[in-house]
Amino acid sequence: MELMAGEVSFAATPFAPLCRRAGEGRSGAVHKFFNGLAREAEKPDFAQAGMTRRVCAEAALSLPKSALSALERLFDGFGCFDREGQLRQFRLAAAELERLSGELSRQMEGRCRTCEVLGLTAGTAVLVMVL
Amino acid sequence: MDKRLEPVPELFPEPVRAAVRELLAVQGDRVEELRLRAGCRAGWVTAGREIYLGGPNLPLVTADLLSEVVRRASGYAVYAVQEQLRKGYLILPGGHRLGLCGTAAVEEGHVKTIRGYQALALRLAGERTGCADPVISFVRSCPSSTLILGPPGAGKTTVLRDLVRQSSDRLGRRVGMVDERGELAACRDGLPQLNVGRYTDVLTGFPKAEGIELLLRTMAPEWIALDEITAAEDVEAIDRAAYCGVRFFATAHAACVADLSGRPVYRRLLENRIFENVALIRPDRSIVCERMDDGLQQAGRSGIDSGCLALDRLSCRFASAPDP
Repeated sequence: MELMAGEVSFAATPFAPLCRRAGEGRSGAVHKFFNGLAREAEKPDFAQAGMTRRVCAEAALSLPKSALSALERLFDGFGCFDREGQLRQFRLAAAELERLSGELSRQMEGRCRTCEVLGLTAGTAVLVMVL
Repeated sequence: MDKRLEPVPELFPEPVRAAVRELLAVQGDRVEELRLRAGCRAGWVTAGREIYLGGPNLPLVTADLLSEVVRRASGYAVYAVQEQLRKGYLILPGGHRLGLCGTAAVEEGHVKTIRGYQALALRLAGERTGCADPVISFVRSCPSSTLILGPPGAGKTTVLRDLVRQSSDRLGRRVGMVDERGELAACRDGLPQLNVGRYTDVLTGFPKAEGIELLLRTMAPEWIALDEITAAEDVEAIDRAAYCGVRFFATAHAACVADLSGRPVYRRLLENRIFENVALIRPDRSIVCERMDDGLQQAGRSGIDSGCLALDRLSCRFASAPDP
């Protein structure tokens, strides 16, 4: 997100090369996602509405609903704003994704603790049975 | 279809795209402009005449179509072209220029952008190899700064481009080009899409005054080429650079030297005799080259209304009529 914001801010890079630049150095579904966005923008009849969802599906990028919505808000309307507006969109998307990432981390932590407790209980039960 | 014209049909949605593709495939080198106006039939311009595009079944142009063309032309990135939009044009791959007409969005008294497009004019860039032959012959015999004059649409940019190319390739001169609007060389990813010669260094997107300073500091040009001198700061920068021994090729909107002398912006150029050669493109596309000597400057200063130079005082005259 920071890379893309930088490219827009300092080099005014258009949408397709911007996506390709964002995909460089990434691998797997993330690389396919950004390359997919660039390919969509280069089509003769580029339909921006619904593009993010289509490309996510093609790249087999599995995201929670709320994260997908945040990306849709950013990419489905990309390029319709002036520079300040576009950077604001980046900041909003980055803030939303960070918030979601924090939530997921907390959920993961909770699940890890639950698994730990279950594991200990199961282990103790087995020990008791053996003894 | 010429390779430079290939991106042009992709700017339009169907069915206009098919009509444009067919037109360019059949009449590519005759097409000067494509014209779209909301509520009217699309048209194309050749030899100054406008002709309807496609058959009567082609739908009328709508405001949505105009918006879509601008979106495609901007690469779906308004932020990348906002400065161009503010000035009312977009430069496209291939060096073509899309002129925009619509409603100004004004902020604090300045135009921020254009919205609600009413009309678009797509001027196709053309390379006419050899159209500057009379000018280059003149410059060889009188190697001084040369100003190309003509009314809008006369072909000044086309002649300037060929002049730069020939100076570079035939005369081996090192030319620095300030291509403020990207129309001269149409550089894309560093590669000029139009032939400007092998010894030509191109600055794209720079304001002319800044570009001249940069070229002088870093590229040691023998000649500097500029398109459309319109602002006082451009004239100042040219004046300063001329004292460094650099010579110029430039263009200006004017029917003749008398036209120029009536405008305060150009008076300094005429008084300081920075441009000693003038190449005048006439409405029939013939080119007349002459020295801007004291007598001609006098004619310019006194604002002779004949609409042209005192032809009997020409020291040298060439005429060439490129294909319309």
